[in-house]
Amino acid sequence: MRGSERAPRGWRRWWRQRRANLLGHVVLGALMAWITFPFLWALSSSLRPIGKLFTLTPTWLPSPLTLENYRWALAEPTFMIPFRNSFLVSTASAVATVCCAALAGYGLARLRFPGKRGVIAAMLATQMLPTMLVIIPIFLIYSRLELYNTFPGLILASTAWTLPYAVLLLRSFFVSVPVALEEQAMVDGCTRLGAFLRVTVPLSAAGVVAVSVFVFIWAWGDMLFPLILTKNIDHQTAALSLFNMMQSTRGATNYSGLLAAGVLFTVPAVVLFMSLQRQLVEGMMAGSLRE
Amino acid sequence: MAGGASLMPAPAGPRDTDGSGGAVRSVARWGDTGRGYLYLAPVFAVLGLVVGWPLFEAARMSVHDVYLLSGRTQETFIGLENFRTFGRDANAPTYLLNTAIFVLGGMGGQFAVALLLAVLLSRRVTFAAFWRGLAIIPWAMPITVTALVWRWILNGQWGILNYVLYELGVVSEYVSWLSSQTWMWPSILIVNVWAGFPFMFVNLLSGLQGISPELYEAAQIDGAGPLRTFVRITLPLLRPVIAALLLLSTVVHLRDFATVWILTSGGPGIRSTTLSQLVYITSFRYFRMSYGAAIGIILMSFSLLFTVLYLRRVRFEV
Repeated sequence: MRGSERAPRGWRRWWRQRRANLLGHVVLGALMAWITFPFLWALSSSLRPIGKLFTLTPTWLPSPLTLENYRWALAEPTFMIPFRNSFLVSTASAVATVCCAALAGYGLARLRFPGKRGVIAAMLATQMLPTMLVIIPIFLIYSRLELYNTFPGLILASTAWTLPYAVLLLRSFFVSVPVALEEQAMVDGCTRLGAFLRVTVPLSAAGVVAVSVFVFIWAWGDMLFPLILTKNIDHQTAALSLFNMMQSTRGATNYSGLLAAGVLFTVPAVVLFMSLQRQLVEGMMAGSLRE
Repeated sequence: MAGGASLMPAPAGPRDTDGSGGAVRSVARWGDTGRGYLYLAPVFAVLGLVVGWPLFEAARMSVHDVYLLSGRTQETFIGLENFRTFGRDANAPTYLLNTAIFVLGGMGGQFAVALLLAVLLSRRVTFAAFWRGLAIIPWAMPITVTALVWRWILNGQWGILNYVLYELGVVSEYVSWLSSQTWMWPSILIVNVWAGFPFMFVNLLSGLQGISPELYEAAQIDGAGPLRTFVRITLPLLRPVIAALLLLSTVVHLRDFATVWILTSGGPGIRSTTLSQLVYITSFRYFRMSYGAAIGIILMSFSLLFTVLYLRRVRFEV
């Protein structure tokens, strides 16, 4: 009797100690399942022959597995042309943003001039503007300047939209580079801009990479600017063309092909994003080491 | 990238150590003012062309009547008539309610998930680093693809959600999640939370990790339970981060267009049309550009209110 009395007490104690932990793991498991499921389901569905996609009893691992949807996506001009455009627009936006932002960030980090505080506040405020409001006049202005339905127009818009963040982030990296290093370079015969390019920028490489990747991913995923500022697939990006394909009846009937295109379109962003994480962490650690 | 990664004022950079903004006098000797403006010139040029000028135009258009379809651009000054038109619109309360549902629901949902996950993953958990990395991947997924995948999951005829719920006996017949009046908003919000919580999660996690473990030890010695510790120590210390995140999230949701548009296009009817969608529909479906601009200005004034509150909270060093 005594033994059987002790057993539940021991079990109860064990339960009292572990229940919070167990509950935590159960909730964590449920959340992680919810977070990862869409990725896995998209992947699984995109590997299914179209005939097996619309089925009343979905299965995890379709048999036979097929790459036909990926072949379809890679041969489909309404996806592939915008996919290439996405690379062009995102890369050019990243380069343009980094160049403008580095110069401005340096100015804000190193120079004293009236109105500096106002400039920074204005940049923060700019980011809060509803894109939808500003995009109406942008559309009209672009039509007038013949920037409508062009790559430069799209790149310019993406650049403007990511610049404020890029300036502020780069500024914070430049601030942490010791001024003495620049002075040394200037003593050695560099111009001020030369010292900036040869000393400060390389020491802030983590920040430059982080900003480039950030802008690239932003332009990659944005569908609003292409929606308003372009009109045909020659200048559209894949974020928009995927949406257009979704809305068309042809896309709705070839959902596995669409999902394959979606997976292809997601891969560059996710891969870059992983490297952004590393760069940001590295940048922070490098900054603290220098102090 | 959904949400507002672009909105944090330089969150990741190292801190300004001497508070001087790095402007040490020996280098900053001459011509700083001219140089400063010169370096800022490209940024001013780009922002002026794509933000400043359009913003001015938008304000001007909102008090004019612009006919685009009449062949030539013809403008008549009508004062605040566009704003009055919106006030008289019988659907205006619906648009405002939809916007409120999206903003509050999206913000609240993202915050709840982010906080829960941050608390769970800040403790000792097997493979914590792996889960953390996994949890923020939705951030990198382009919103078009996010919506595409979720539309497939939520599909009324072939979606996996219907299948699972039907097999489990939770629903007795298949539901068209995104066109049902009851389930449309919960469905939109679940997708929105999925796409947007990582940003809050990352910030809350780093906030939690910044709290000194000694505080928790002291609380434990004093006999405080986990819940009490959380309410009395964790939440108060996270308060500044939480306030900034909620304000930021409000602004992000106010201006968000793509999420709802790709999922439901504002339908059924106008049931999920937020102000942001309304500006688009008015301006680019019906080409009533000046009326669209006026609604945009109303949207901006909400956004501005929260921006001011946000800027007052965020200390940015100059």
